[in-house]
This record gives sequence, structure tokens and C-alpha cells, in this order.
Amino acid sequence: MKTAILEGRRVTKKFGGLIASKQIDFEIQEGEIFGLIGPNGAGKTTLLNLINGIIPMTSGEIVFCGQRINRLKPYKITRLGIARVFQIARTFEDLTVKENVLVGQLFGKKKSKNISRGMKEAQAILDFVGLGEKRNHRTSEITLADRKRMEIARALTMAPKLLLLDEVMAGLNPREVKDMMEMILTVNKKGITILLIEHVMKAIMGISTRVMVLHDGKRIALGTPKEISENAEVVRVYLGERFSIEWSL
Amino acid sequence: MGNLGRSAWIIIGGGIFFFLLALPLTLSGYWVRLFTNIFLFAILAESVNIIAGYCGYLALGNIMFFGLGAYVEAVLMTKCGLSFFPSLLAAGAGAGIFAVLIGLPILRLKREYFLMGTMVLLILLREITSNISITGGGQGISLPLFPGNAARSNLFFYYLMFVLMNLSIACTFFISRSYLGYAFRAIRFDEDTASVMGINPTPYKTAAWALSAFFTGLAGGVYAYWMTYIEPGDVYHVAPSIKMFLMMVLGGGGTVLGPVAGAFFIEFISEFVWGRFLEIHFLILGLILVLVCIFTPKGFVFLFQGGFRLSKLMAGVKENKV
Repeated sequence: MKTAILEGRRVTKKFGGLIASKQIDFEIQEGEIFGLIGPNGAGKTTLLNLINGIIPMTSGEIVFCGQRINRLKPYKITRLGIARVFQIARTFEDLTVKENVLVGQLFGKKKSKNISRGMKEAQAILDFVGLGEKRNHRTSEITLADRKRMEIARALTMAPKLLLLDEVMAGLNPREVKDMMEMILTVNKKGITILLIEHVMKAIMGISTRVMVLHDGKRIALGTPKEISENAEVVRVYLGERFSIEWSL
Repeated sequence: MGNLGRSAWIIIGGGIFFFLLALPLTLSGYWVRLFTNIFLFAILAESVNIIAGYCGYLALGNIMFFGLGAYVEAVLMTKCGLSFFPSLLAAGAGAGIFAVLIGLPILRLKREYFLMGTMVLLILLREITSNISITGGGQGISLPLFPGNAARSNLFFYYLMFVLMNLSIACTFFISRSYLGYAFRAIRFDEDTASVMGINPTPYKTAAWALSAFFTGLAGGVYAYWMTYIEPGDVYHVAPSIKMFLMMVLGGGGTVLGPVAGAFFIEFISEFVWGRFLEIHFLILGLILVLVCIFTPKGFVFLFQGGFRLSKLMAGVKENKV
């Protein structure tokens, strides 16, 4: 039987009068690709922010590998093994691609402060994501797809158990989406559990083990991609009739 | 670095080093004092570079550590009878410790709020110093005279400032190439992203400010002994604080040599302009500053990184428009 790597219990976040997350319960199994979908403003990114501690939770709790983490600072959560790739690429602009990855390597899970060894490992991970050639470019000089790859490389260098991916396929062309899907699957095969927010339905339905749907801060469905695509409420608020028909074909 | 190659830069750097080392042997007292003053500002600009250039915390009131160092030096030498060098060490360490103590609460502020916080602290320190007796209050305090004639005194302070300047450069050099430098730059870019990378920002930025304060305090200590008389309005003055910031920005914040180059540039220009065009001094200085900001917004050392090309000037103009 599989064990839960991340568990959320009645996770709630209020921004003043606005409730961004309402009593969300979820459980992510070790080794799965867990998809998170929902219309804009549904609270998907907020949930990720709560998981890695960037914003404090109003009530509820989040448990990672048996440890309650929702009072911890982001850097501690990262060192426990949760890495994050942001929706809008947050690269260190003045540094090169390799140096960006090096930062993750130096301060992530492993506490090695050795620059030359860190550089070697950064190079290995850049080769893995296919950016080895562009290691000395500044991050402002590479394409969006490459920047997302670099962010994934930077996250991987922290040796995470759980990787949070926030719309890594947004703005990519079909070819790049395909490459990205393959990369996510490869990363997952290495034993890294993945939580994925995505609007590209083909991608998320294609690679997720299970999918959770949020709407107005509430969980409205949780199940396999097939179950989700047939769920009447999900179809009504988010997917639309046409997608449902296409998918079931 | 650049198409000149590493060895060429070492030769140029070494050449400048030995030139400055031999300089006082040929120059008059006026020029020796002028260079001592340039070194002083180079130390100040390099210090503020550590917290502002690398970490992105705009410590505009950083000159408070200069005043603090100057007063620690003065009080220890006159009231406690300590000699110059032990007092100097206390001046640097005192400023560093003070930075840690106020840094823990005040470094929680960001951007302009932090900037205002440092300015308030600067004013606060000035007022406290003016109103307590141990510092001599608003009347200031006189230090013991340097033993020896004026020429020897000039040489002493010239070489002392020169050594401190090189220490601050060496310190910045090692920071820029160590994990500290990467942590600082990550914090400057975005603290949330940095902490998601596993960086705990608090100890890093506190350490950066303490280092910055340490060198600024040392400079203040030397300044007090050099001037032999200090008063609160002189050492806790906003103008030099703005000047050292300007030097850092013009030369290039977050680089090792940029702030030092900026200090030499501004001091030379203002000396040259001052001597010849007394009436329009600020006009010309201002014009030069505006031109530098338009053409090299990241600081003029960037013109030389990766080879000097005039086309970089136009790239700078474009960057400004973003």
C-alpha cells in the first residue's frame, strides 16, 4: 500500500474577507503525479504558497512525511525536501544559468558550501534537462522554455522528495509542451513525487495519476483523470461540454 | 574577465597598486591628503556595496557607522587612555556589533522603508551624541595629536587608509566568489525566491550589514584621529552618505571594483572641476552624473566586462527605457 507523502487537513486561508482556500482536504501519495486544476482565482497557487510556507495559513494543517510543516519558514520546508517552480519564472537575472542552478545546489537540501563541487553537480543537472550548452548564458538571454527548464534543474539540484510545479507549460508551444511532459515523467520515474498545476488539459490529463479540482477555494472533485473528465460539476464550472466530449472520444 | 585576459588585468591591477604605493614619495602634502580622502571614500563606497550592492538593502544612512566608529575612537583615546590601534579595532567591532543589534529588527523592513529606517537611526545617533557628556556633546571632541611632524602624519594616514581600502576590496572579492556572495545576490533579487532555495535570509543580511558597518567604523576611527577633532554634525552628516552611495551606483553596485572606481572617478572629477570652474562646479558634476546614468545604468565597470565596446553605451540607453 502506498503512503501519503503530503497531507492537507482542512487547509484554510483567508485574505481579509476573501476566502482563498476553504477547508481543503487532500492527500498526495508517494511517487504519483498529482494534478491540480481549476479556473483562474480558484486558489491553486495559494495552495502551493501555503504548502511551502510563503504565506501563513489561517487554519488547518499540512503534514509532510509525517511532520507538520505549516508553521515552518520556507527555507526549512525546502530543506525538508519540497522544491518549487514558480508560475512566473523567478530566475536570478544577473547570474548565469549555471550559477542559478548552483544557488539551489549550495543552499538546498545538501549543505555543501563547496563552489567547485557545486558547479560540477550543477553542470550534470543542466545536462540532464538539456541546457548544458547554455550554461554560461545570462537568464535574460534564454527563451521562456529554457528558463522553465532551468528552474526545474534548480529545483532538482535540491534533491527534493516533492516537486511543486506551477504552470510550467504556460506560454510554451506544442513541441515544447511535449518535451516538458516527457521531462516531468522522467523526473517522476526517478522517484520524485510531483504536484502539478496546469491549464494545458491535454498535458495534465495525460500524465497525472490523480487530479484535484478547485473552484472558489473549495475542492469540488478528486479522482483519476477519467473520473474528473466525466464529473458533471467539473465540466460545468471549468472544462466545458466540448472538452468532455473530446476527452471521452 | 574580458578579452584582455586574466593576466593582463593582474598586471594592470598590480601596476595601479604599486603606483599608489610609491605615490606619496613624489607628491606634495596636498596631494597626499587628497588621495587619503579618496581612499576613505573608496572604503565607504565598498562597504555600502556589501549591504546595498550585493544584498539590495539600500542603507542610505550607513554613514552612522562612520560616526559611531569615529566617536568610539575618540572616546576610548581621550577618556580611557587607550592607544590608537586598539581603539580602532574597537571602533570597527563596535560598529559591527551595533549593526547586528539594530539589524535584527530593522532588516525586516524592505526597500524604501529600510532606507528611511537607516536615515532615522542616523539622526537619532547624531542627536544622542550631541546630548550626552562623554562624547563632548554638541561642542565636539578633540583627539590626541599624531606624534611626529606633518609630513610623517600625512604618510601614516595615507598608508593606513590604503591598507584598509585594500582590505575592504579583498573582503568583497572573497565574498563575491564564495557561497555568501550567491546568498547575498539571491536575497537582492527576491527574498521569497531565495528562501524557497533554502536560504534563510536573516543571518545572511545581518552578516552583510555587520561587515559593511565594520569597515565603515574603521574608516570613521581613522578619520577621527586624522582630523584630531570631530563633532556630531560633521561625522553624522547625510551628504557623504549620499556621496558614497552615488560612487557605488556609478561604478557598479554588486561588483568588486565598481564602487572603488566610482570613488576615484567622482573625487577626481570634483577636484578637477572644483579647481577650475568654481562657479559652475555642481552643474558640471551633475551633468557628468546624468550622462553616466544614461549610458551605463549598471555602473561603468560593466563597460569593461567582457571587453570594451562603445556599442555597450547604446545598450545602456536601451536598458534605461525598460
